[in-house]
Amino acid sequence: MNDVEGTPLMAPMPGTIISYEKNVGDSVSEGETLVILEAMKMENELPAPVSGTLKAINCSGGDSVAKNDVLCVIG
Amino acid sequence: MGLVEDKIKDLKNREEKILTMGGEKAVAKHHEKGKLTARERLNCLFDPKTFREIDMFVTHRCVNFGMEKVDIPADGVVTGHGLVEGRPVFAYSQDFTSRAGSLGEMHAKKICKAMDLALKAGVPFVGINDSGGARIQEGVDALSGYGQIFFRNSNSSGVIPQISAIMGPTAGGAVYSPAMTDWVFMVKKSSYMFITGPEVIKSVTGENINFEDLGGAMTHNTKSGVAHFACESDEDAINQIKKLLSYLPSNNMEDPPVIDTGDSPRRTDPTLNTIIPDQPNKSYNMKDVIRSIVDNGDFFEPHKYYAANMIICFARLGGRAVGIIANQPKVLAGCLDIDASDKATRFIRFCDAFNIPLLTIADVPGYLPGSQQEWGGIIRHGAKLLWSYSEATVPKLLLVTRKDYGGSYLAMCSKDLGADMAFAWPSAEIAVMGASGAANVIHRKEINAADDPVAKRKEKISEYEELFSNPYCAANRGYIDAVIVPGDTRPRLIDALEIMCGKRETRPQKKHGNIPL
Repeated sequence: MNDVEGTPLMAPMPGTIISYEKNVGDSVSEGETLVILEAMKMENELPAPVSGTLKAINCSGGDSVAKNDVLCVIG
Repeated sequence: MGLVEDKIKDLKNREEKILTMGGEKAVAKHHEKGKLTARERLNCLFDPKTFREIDMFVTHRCVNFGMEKVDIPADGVVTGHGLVEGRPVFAYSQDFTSRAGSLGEMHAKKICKAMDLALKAGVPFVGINDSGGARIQEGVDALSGYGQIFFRNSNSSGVIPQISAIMGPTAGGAVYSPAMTDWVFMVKKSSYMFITGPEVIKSVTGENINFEDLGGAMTHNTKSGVAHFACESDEDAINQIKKLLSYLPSNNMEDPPVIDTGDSPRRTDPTLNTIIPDQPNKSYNMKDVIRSIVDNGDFFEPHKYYAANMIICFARLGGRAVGIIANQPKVLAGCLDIDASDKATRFIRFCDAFNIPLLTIADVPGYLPGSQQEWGGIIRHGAKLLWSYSEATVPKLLLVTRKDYGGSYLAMCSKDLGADMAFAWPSAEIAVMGASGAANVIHRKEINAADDPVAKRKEKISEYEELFSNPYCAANRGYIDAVIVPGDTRPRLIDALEIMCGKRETRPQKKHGNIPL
């Protein structure tokens, strides 16, 4: 999935994905919440690093992710 | 030439020649890049007609490579003093139009003279950097010049505020003087800082990287933390420097200026009563809390883009300048990590050196776990926070809004590290660890032995929450001085600051401590 071209949203810290707030194909604007990641006993809202279209979603709710794992790609 | 009148005319002519700097063409080329000249920058910094130049007629002494025929106006750097919003400041400004602002022996001597005077006078020092680097023709004399500046940076540190503006290329030795000053302002797109440039990197490691990615303003404001401010233009940088200076005393023997901000110290804000979400795992924006508490909602934030899980900012409470250190639940859950510890520590030490009281606002779930953090030395970096809070003798206030657990409870200026007044909101949870972890440790055997371990575990967690996830255990022992209604935070903090502003605390005499770096 990492071969999709665009800007990746990476996990800032290890945690568990609660949900994706957008679907592939949706247009997103910079700063908009894309993913909710539970980490440090907090639901962390991860914002889109850039505006564009959500090209790929690499995980799903309940997945455990490591720091710097690519969660989704915006093109 | 015999007449005094002619001599005065001669002086004017000499001055005029120097004021043209590198000449019309060079100045026009400089302006084309959207940059101000060295002298325009100083005019922008200082109040009108207050700038007094010194060492205008200094010239270089280099005779190598035909340099004896080269005239460099003011030797490529303008130095002097003036008033910034009515308060005295010394400054230098490198002139890129004159031999690329390159630094030679006499150029450095001019800067050093201004630094020496600033230190003697107890006046802040602002360096505006725009230089191609060492004047290579001058060889080791240029090198020595940098060394003499570094020595003075270290000597003046903690005595007078030192501020660096980077408004052009800064490479090699030239980056270290700014790095040794208190604050670094970089202008986007026109300034770069690096030890070795893209060409050298390519020839040595084969890595391809451009100037901007390697050492541009945003790189140093987000990745390295070398720069504290990313500015849109030369004017923007200078305006931000003025704003910063407004919070600072002129030197370490003075208190910061107290100004009438017009915001009532009695002002309360009921919106704070609902700012903490009912669900403990939801975040909120700590900047909303800060905005509500401080005078006119106005705060000035260095390192805005670096380690955003920790907020540092200057603000005023009842007109008095304070330095605020606060966890940001919206970023990385507000946890402590290496960069956040570094960022906060340098800020705490700056504020302490310049008599700026500290307000710590804690909502911290703990330290970020992981091998990257451990191998990166979070133990020694985290220790710096404990160190700097303990070392600081300025008034120290603490406000706990929500989570304040374990080691991070101590690291966010607990009473034990010398908080003079510690307040907590009713939503505060001050405990050795979070409820689920604690229940597991304390009741492991009982939970495992139960017919329904999951239910038992849940029961024990809520039991622990009931007992410890509140501010009262800490308040019972006096670790928290008062549990307060959130809306009343501003008047409470201002009263605490007022009563503590005459605080005198001493530490044992020593050469210096050995802070874990």
